Amino acid sequence: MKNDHFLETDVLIVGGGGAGMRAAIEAASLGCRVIVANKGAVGRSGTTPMAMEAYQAVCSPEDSEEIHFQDTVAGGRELGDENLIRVLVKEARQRAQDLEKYGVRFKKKADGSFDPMHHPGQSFPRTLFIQGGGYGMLAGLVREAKKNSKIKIMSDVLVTKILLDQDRVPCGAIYLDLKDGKVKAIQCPAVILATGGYEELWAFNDASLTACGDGVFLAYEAGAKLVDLEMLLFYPTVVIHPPSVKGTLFQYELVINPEILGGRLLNGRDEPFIAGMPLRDALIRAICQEVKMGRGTKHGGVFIDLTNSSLSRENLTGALEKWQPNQFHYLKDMGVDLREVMVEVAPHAHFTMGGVAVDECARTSVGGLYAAGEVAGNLHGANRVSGNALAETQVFGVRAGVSAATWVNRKKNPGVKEFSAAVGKAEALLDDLQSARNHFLRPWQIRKRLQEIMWQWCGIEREAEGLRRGLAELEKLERESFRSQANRRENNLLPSGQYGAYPQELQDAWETWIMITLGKLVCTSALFREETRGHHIRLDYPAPAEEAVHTFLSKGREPERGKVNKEDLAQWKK
Amino acid sequence: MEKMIKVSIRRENPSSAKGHTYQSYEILTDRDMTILEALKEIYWNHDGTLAHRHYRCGRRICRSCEVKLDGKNVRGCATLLNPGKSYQLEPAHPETLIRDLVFNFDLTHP
Repeated sequence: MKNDHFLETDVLIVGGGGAGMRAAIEAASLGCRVIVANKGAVGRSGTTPMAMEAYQAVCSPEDSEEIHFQDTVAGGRELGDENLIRVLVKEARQRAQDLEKYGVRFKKKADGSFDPMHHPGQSFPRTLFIQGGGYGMLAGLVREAKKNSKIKIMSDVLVTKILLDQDRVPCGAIYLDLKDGKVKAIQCPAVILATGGYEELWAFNDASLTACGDGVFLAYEAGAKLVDLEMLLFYPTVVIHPPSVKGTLFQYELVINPEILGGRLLNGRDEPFIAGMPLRDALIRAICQEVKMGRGTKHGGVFIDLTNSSLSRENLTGALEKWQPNQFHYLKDMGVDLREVMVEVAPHAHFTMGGVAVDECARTSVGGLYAAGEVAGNLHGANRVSGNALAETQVFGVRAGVSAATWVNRKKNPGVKEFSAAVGKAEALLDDLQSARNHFLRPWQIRKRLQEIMWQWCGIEREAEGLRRGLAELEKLERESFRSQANRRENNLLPSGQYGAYPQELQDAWETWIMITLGKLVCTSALFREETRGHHIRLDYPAPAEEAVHTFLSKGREPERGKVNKEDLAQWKK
Repeated sequence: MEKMIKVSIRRENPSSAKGHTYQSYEILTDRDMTILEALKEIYWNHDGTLAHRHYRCGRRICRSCEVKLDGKNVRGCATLLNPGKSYQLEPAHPETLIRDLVFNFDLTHP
């Protein structure tokens, strides 16, 4: 194997967003050599740059960690693991202060204290406002990581496999380097997954096109336990029309707050249909109801209306400038001035609460394999309270970095391994996917079909019959698109392993292929949860079960129910 | 009324010795499209070999879709193309070109 096709490190971090970068900083500070492998351009791709400004941490005297804890447990409809939530609320504030050290700026009052927003589900205002949103936060983290020579950051690499040794723990990974289209290997005793979610499985999502569940797939293939994959959070108010700004999220929490933007949500007949400040799951059900009853807008949503804001035009402009400057100006320049026109919005897949099962130290069920951020699965439960996602990336990023460093220091380095066989295997698989180009379906067409199936049968409202139908359609899609590729290799005229610089369509094919696998797992998980809880709405089981339980999935096993970790109070009293 | 948006795109694979070419595409539409939308349309329905970054942060901040439009660097997600007009698109930073419109951010912004 050529030298530049083989790298060696202590900790490989898959994903260079908020959680991955924070984990890198922590592991390197503990003496580890770190490689961060990012699928797109670092700092300008993935989930974190799309995140809103919200970071939840206790910051006012009347509030407390205990109340943040209770809000998060209740908001998650009792399905979040309490040991994880306890860690989140305990460490969120400290991690925000770390961010400030890295040069990330928060909105402050004149006296220098945090100026939090009050979001639905919070007993007290607790949403710290990050200047520049997730993008601004990540920029600070990347700057900090680049200061440490132990951290090597790679953009444009697609990790396709975690390699395990005879003890079933990581010894390396295989990746496709998009810059030159070559398959390469990294040797490492520890891997941290920080790849974000899998929203791209659904036709309507406001996430990155690259949120394909790479980390969930890698963990599943490595034998790790997955949890609550059916728990998909929809964000209620994402622009559906006009097409040039389709997919732009505008925070309803700000719209309906009389103290912030003083606006309303209206149905297609210009009538209000909600009262107060509903949580996301409640608002989604209300919007679905309006659309179902024929009271939706022309394109099947509802309106955000700031044209009748309770604020004066001058104050409204000021508030938009203060709270949503990027979205406001972007929409305005694209012809949608929110002060003049109502805009059509509808629920979109926004955040995947399910994922890889972890403990409070970010450990998965596979030794040496860790997960932090959205890729992990059992923190938020059945509904996520606004602001806990970015806090999660920082709190559990640090914990994953510490855990990985501890593992590396305890374990002997795997010694130089021969990775050519694994590279060859990966190339054979990619060759098959590459030949999809000669097939009658292009990768994006297969992806579109997958997304339609998921939206139709495993979308906002679900029932057993539909979920079974969805599963069958995914099986069929897989047979008709990719499985047949193995037999088509002889038709593939390109030499094996030669994909050329930036093989975009091959990346598309790979992502679509793993998403079909994940889609089947999500449907299986959704079928298994016979209750309605939070964002998982089962029309055939409209009430929540008496006790909240996790759904666990792992390779080669039937789905299992598992206990939600309830808090051992004694543990936290000290 | 539907009209053509005409786009001429600079194509190059630095690892081949062939140098660059300009390839023309036409999109029939009745409305303004952002550059990012137009590129997606071309990649989907005209030419799957066109390399471009399709990431969209949703609020004109990340610059991942930066591209040279008629000689000037702009953000693809926030720049509208009008039906009936012709445009030229080139990589924003050709000195770190990976392929077509995709350049290497790690080298451009070390």
